[in-house]
Amino acid sequence: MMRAGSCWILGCLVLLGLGVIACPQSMAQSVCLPMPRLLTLFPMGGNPGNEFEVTITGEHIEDCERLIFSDPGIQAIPVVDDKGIPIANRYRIKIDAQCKVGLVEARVLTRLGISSPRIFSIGTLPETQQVSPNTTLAQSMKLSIPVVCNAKMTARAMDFYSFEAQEGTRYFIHCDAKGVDSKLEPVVIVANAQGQDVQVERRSGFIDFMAPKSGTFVIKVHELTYRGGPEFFYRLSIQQAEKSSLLPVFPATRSVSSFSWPPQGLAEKATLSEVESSDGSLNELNLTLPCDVAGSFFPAADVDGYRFTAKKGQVWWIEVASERLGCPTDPALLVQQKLGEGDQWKDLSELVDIASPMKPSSNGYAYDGPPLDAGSPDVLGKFEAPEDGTYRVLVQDLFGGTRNDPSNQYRLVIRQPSPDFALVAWPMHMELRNGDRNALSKPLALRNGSTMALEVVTVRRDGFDGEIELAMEGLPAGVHAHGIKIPSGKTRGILLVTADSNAPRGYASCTFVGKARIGETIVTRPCPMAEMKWPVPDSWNEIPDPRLTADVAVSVSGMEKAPLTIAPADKKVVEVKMGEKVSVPFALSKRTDFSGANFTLKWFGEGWDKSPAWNVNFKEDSVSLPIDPAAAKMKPGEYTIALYGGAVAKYRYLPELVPIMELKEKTLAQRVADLEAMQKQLAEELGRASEDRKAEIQQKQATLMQDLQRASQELATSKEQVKQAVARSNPKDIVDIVITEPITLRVIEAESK
Amino acid sequence: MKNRQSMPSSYSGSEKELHCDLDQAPKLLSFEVQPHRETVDRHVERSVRAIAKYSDGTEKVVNNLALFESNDSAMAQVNDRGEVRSHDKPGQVAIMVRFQGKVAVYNAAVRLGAPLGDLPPARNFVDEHLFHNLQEIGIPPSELCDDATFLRRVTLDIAGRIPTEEETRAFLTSDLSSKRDEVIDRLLESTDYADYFANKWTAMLKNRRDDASDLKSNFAFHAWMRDSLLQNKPYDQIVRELLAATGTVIANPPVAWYKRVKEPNQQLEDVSQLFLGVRMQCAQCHHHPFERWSQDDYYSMAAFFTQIGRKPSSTRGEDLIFHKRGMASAKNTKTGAMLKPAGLGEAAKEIAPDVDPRLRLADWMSAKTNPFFAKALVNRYWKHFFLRGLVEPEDDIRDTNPPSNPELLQALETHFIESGFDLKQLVRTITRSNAYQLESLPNEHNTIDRQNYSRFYARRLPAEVLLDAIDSITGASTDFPNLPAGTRAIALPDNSYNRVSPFLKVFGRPESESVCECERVQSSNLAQSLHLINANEIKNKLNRANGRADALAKDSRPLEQRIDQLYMIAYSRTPTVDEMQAAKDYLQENRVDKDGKPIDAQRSLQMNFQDLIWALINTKEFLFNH
Repeated sequence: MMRAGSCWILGCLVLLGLGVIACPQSMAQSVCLPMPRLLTLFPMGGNPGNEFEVTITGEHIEDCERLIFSDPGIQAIPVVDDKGIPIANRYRIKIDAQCKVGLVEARVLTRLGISSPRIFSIGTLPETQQVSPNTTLAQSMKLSIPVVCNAKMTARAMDFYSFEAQEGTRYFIHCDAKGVDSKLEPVVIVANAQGQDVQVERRSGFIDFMAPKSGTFVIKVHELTYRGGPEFFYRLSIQQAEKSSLLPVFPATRSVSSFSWPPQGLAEKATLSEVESSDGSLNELNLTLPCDVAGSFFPAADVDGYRFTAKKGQVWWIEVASERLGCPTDPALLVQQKLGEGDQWKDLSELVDIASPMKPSSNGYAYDGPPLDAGSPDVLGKFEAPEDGTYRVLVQDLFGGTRNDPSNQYRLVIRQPSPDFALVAWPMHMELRNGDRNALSKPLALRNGSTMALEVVTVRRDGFDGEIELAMEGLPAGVHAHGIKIPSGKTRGILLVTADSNAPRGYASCTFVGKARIGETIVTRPCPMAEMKWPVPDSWNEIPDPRLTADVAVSVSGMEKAPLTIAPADKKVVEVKMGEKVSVPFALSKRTDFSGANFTLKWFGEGWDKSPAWNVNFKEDSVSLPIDPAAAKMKPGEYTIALYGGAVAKYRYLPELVPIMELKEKTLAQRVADLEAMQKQLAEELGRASEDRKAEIQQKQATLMQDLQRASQELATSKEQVKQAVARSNPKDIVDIVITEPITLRVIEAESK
Repeated sequence: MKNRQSMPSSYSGSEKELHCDLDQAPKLLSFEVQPHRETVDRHVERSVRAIAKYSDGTEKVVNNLALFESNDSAMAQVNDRGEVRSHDKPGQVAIMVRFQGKVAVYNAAVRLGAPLGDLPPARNFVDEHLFHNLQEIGIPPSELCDDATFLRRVTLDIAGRIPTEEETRAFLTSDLSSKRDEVIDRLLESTDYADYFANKWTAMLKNRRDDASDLKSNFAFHAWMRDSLLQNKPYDQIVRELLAATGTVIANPPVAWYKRVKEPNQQLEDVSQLFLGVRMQCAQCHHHPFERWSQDDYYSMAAFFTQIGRKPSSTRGEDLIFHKRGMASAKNTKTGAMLKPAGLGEAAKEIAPDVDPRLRLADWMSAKTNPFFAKALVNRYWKHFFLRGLVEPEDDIRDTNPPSNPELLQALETHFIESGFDLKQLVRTITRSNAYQLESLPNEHNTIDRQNYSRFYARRLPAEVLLDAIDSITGASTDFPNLPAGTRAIALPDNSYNRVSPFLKVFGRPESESVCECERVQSSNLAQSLHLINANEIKNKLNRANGRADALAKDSRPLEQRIDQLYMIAYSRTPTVDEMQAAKDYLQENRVDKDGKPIDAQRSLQMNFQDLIWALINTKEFLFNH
């Protein structure tokens, strides 16, 4: 955990050491307050035991304090200049020799708190970096095999590489991009030495290349639509492979839908494997239930049959995973019952997609649902045998009619009912203005006095229908989490994370879980977080691309407070009897001005969300929330409730920086004035000096002139920095979600008369 | 005009008696025309007999009741008694004869009868059939073209570009007897071939940018077609992947076709016209009078596309396509009958609900016995190389629109099927033939020929090819938004670039709205001439810093060598003595500015080179593939 209140000075020093402060792109947007986002690291990976320098870029990270990795075996320290001052955005990385190969996440800790994550790869192939420009055949960068080359795609161009191949040797060529957070849709081409295409791959980024002759071969890489830039990074690897080697599986981030796989307790490997018929005809495997089978949708239009017997009334749950394993498939499963002695079969049920627990965005005019789909084209459903007999399931890929790709794997599990649930959560968004199509990454970087809401959804397994409590543990000091449970039979809940106004600066990797009673047991299941890989300000123009994150990182700024805090006047449980009403006092703490006279808040809380909206006047310092359980048709019980709405703050970004920058400018201006005075003095001295001293004075003048030029340059830069800092600190209308601190409400049965 | 389709007898009596008589009247079983096929001289008359055969075994000559129609009245006309008169134009002509909903065709080869002299040797079956036809109708072919003409022609037709100077010099100086065959092979292996034919196919497959969100799918679809052609994926496999596409555009780019063509009716009509050469649009509402396709045929084809499932994707306007389990059928909107899928002319077959019917459609299409699939393709490709399809229009193959050389069409079809639907092999076979390598200049007899390929029919370069050619000769590439510098017009992934390039629009680059190749405007018009003569786009290319004119003006080589280079690039040949002299004289002229003051020699030379290049561009020899 981070030491509270540390290192703001360090941030300032970094700023002062910085040339020109990059103006974050998102300052132009008027939705959501600035959040720290780590966008790129370069290079994007390394080997265990290596030590090297990385450069980072991001949004609102100009006061970056630390670079943190999800694997503690990777340490980063700032690179400093010859005066010992940290150089902005540059870190020296040391990867422990014992560090596990695979993907880890990097984040930065800033004045605002923890940033969104970015993938960092730990691998064993020797690493190198792109030598630019390499956008023509003549400029091809020579690569020695094996290698992984860290590169950034050049816009409106192809990147060229070359390597020496031996005839008859097999090479695995892989452009890792989407799986490591890049925006690049890679096209990889192996060409001959003249640049003529030999083998092209536009989907997976992977080429299994058998060299037809010895000599130089060229690898061309470009983005499908020729976009490029720092966000279009990639790791191009080439390695020699044995002829008998299986196709490699490259580590990749997990899709949001994969949160519901695997079921609890499933073995890592299936106990059975599909057997494909040699002539392409339907080949059925006889099974005894329960079963766990691995298969593949191969060859094209493959249909795999599994036959078993069942007794009348037996209930089995059937689950197929393929899309959740990372394959571009759409499995479907048909259950049939055998009729008579022949080969007659009767359809019983067709099992298809796992429905999204929450209506996802329709990608329409404005935000109308989260731009994440927690559902999956995979299969999860129930089969109840209508009578004793023989049955079969037919498994096929609805996307597989013409595709001959054995890597499209699936796993079929048929089991007795084992009620359970899986959870996933993401930071909530809502329509904040007309035509709001923001799909921003939102790290859990809390400003003091703010509350963030996480939408939590569940996929329920095998008939589990109970309520699910939500909890987050291991939070930084002064940060509290309040779960608004997922009600029985429902699929969505809310977790509120609140930072006290006086909470110390802090950061922690937390544990987020859901708990439910299943039978006689209380079971606890993890709730991974999903996050946008990139902040998308307009989902009309760029498709949001979410994924699961490695951990649940929560921070509290300790330096910047929320523009508005709405907190209950006291923290005690509010009690109200059925048939009565109660007003709950809330205090408004405003730290800036707001547009408009008032704003409306809607309700969070199991069953309370239909209650009438609450209108709050910005002028008031305290307001009362009327609560009427009868009107809300609520039953007695204990509830966590909160209210939320959009408010437009006159937000000032980092106004504290202005006096610091002005002081620096003043100091530099004084320095320039002093040097100019000295120059004048020397000129006078020169006029009076004897001939034998003139050379000495002229030498001093020359040195002084260099100092003056340097100081003048620094002063000009400083003036520009002040100008930018002032511009950014000017109030700007930004609409964001305001959430009250939650209260606990106990609704008591009315006394019988 | 009298009603020629009425019953041959008159009836009297009550309605009931009339129905009774009609029931008992002999039924028309078949209808034919005699003779079916013959060779005739020009300016002669022939009578054909329209013969109806009835269910009672009787045959009747029904010339007085049948309708006669010529498909080329410049070749032969026919009157309403079935008397055919051939005219001046030689070639194959068809007379369509209709009677009571049935159709028969009389085919006549109108002979020119000119002395043939020595025919070029037959290099393959293309030559055998084509020269045989010329012999039959007596049209002497032009000479074989020279090397320079061949290289330019075949490079334009296969790779969609003019040859480079280096290619031309190497080719012209080579003594290899096989050099023509070798250049064909080299071009077929090049990415230019894939780019050029992908450009052709994706336009017909409606790879159209309607919205910014189409960007990725259009690039992916174009790339899929280009890569398929580059690796010479068998044609039936390409069509199969397209027809039965499922999934997402990124994982399976041919899915993008279903974004453009959404309804089963559209799908069957496009597939029929593009891949079978059969226009089915009319059969949606009525049984076409010239064709055998009924509404049942139409909806039976539509039934193949009725089990396409769609799910919204994260991309606006883009669906995921999947096979929706169930029994495929389509409703004949006229009869209300639910029809199972059936290929044209085939009986309906049961398709299991688990099977995507589109896969069965692909099976039927690519069967060796399919009478449409291979024929439509070879005819389309024949037209690409010879300007006119053996059946014309190329996508309207029907009994009543016979090919100009049926034996050749059949041989090409068989060859294509036996090659495993090998597109490169088809191109190789066509371009290796001496028939393809004939001179475009007519001899004293074959000027009149427009359909027998007795000479190479010159055609204007397509918009993209012409723009690339102008870029080559001016040394000034066109900059297309967001694409790498130097991207050629034939490699553009979709139609959106027509909006930023007036040149492409003026010269008729299609907007990918139609499955018909006719959407590409190949005719000439005043706007094109004015564009070439005076458009800023052309002027800027001529005047480009470090462009061709600039470079040649700064070049220290003798003028002759520089002029020679220009002719090599423009025409793939060296200039004639007269051309060289005229060019030298012009280049050495001193220029004056608008005030009459002399312009310095270097600038003057640069301007003169600009003029020379401008003049070369504006010649038919440059603008045409000949």
